[in-house]
Amino acid sequence: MAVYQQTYRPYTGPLTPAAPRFLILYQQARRSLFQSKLLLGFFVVCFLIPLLELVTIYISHNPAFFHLLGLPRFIAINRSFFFTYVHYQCFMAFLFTAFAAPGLIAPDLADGGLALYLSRPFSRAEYLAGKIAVLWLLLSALTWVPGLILFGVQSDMGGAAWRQANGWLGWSIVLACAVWIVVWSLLALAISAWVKWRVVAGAVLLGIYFFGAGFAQVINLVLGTQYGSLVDLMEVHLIAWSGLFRRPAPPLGLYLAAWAVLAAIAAGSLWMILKKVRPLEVIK
Amino acid sequence: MNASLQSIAAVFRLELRKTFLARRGLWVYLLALAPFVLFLGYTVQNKVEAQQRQELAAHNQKPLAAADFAAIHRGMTEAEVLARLGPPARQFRFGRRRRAANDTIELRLDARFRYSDGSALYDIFLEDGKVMNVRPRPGPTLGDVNLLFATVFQFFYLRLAVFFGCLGIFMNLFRGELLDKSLHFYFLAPVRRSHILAGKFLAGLAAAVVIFGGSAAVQIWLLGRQPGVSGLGHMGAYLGVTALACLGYGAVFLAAGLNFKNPIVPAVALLLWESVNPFLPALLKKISVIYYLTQLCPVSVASGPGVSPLFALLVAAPTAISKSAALVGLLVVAAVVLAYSARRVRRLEIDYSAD
Repeated sequence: MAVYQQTYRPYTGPLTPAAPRFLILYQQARRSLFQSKLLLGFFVVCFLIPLLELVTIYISHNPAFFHLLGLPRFIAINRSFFFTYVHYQCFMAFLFTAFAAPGLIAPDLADGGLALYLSRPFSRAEYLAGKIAVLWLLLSALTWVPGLILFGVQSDMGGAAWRQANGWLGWSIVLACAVWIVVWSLLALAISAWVKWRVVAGAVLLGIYFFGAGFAQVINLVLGTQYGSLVDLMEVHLIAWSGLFRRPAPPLGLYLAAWAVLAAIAAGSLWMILKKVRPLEVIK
Repeated sequence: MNASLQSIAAVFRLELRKTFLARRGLWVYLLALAPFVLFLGYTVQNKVEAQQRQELAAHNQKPLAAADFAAIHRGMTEAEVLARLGPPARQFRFGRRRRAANDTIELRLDARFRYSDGSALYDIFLEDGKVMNVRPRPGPTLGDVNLLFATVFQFFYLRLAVFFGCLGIFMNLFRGELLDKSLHFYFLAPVRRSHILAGKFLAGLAAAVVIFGGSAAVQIWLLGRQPGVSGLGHMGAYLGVTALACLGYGAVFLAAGLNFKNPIVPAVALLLWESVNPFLPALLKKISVIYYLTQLCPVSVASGPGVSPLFALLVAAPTAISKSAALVGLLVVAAVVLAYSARRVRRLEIDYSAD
């Protein structure tokens, strides 16, 4: 063939369907996350709490165990039990997020890799969907999926009376964890996108969690208020979840403020991500 | 000045400017500023309340004394309170949500009456027209302010603000150079690596002490200006403890930055270890920085704010050691960690691709 005839010819082979294309990013991101043995090990360790809770549920339905130890049946599987489970499991999931999330977007931005992604048939939304899907799926596997398994086991062992009285708890577990996953994964990705360095992004996430918790306590102590809790993100979740788990109602103002803070963080984080994840970069 | 000191001083000068002005480290100033802003709010609140005590006392129909409020007890009706004290200077009526036995939310109308006898504000809380609680709010005394500052200093400032500040400053000394791919410039210069480490550490320490010591000094000055409080003592002791905290945490985070690709892992481990320190047995308590720091604090505080009574029961009383022993203990811990870091930096191989 003459050289002048060798012009551009577009690819004419079969194309992957457009809709699940973001799953390629998801697969790659998940694979690179679990290349770290430390992270993989920690992911496994996170299942210790559900395992312990499972044993607790089994023991609570085993009168022979209490009889053997000569103890009264002191374990009650109720809304407080599942609320505590969601609280502690979300803390473990936070630690996992602090190590996993900064590695998702930060390296692409720091090394100028974003242009390579977006020059392919990926939209910004698909890029973000691929990255966030990793967090959502892994965090779901850590939080509400084991929660529902525990709920299912308890529903089975507790009998029809328990199911009738506490059937709503299943939705509460899923909703509480879903709110937590959305807020923390968006916040983690936003920090990852803005800070760019994995290590520093992880430190910032930890700082927000632990420093916020401590600062909330001292605000409440020094100023004699309850509203200091709004700077403690875990406490904000606990206040918001009190409605979902039908726990003692916090003051209405605090309850509404907690939901407003969560919505503001999610919206602000999304705005920060969209501001940074662009197929162009201004270098000063 | 001999050559070793000259090289350390040169690194110190370079690093000092970088540490104070690094964009990556600006948030450290926010950490140091946070308690100051909080105490500023406290000062404003106290000034407003001091003014309120005088203003509200003028509204009383009859002169009221502390004994009148002592006579108000739980269960009294609103009418009885009004008969005894007269109409309140201020009253707030608000709806309070309460979860009923059948899981529905009930809205109950509660009230808060505020009186003043000139020296204290009294808040009387009523539920369903009956007194639930009487809360006197006298102006803060020197003892109150001392305890408040000690609590904030030990359970927030040292454990979180200084901790995360030192994490930012000292981790950045080597790990930051690796991220910026600039550490090889230092290593190519004709300076011993241990001198680079010493210069960097001293610069980080100077910056941390100035930022956090300065913040602690301003906080103490501010709290000493509360109405009815004439100056807060122990400034020297608190500044000394802050400097030692920077030294101890600084040494640990410098070592973490040298030894771990992701220094956040040891930082989390240390944070959790320091957090559970009050609950640890005596021997394990000593393997921490915070143990020595709390021993050196001029005011001892049993448990932190927000600790539930159940957890407060689990707090093991620390075995008291002399201040000199605590000081030596902390210096020894820092010296050992720094010696290890000096040994580590001599064999450090740069691999920028790993970051």
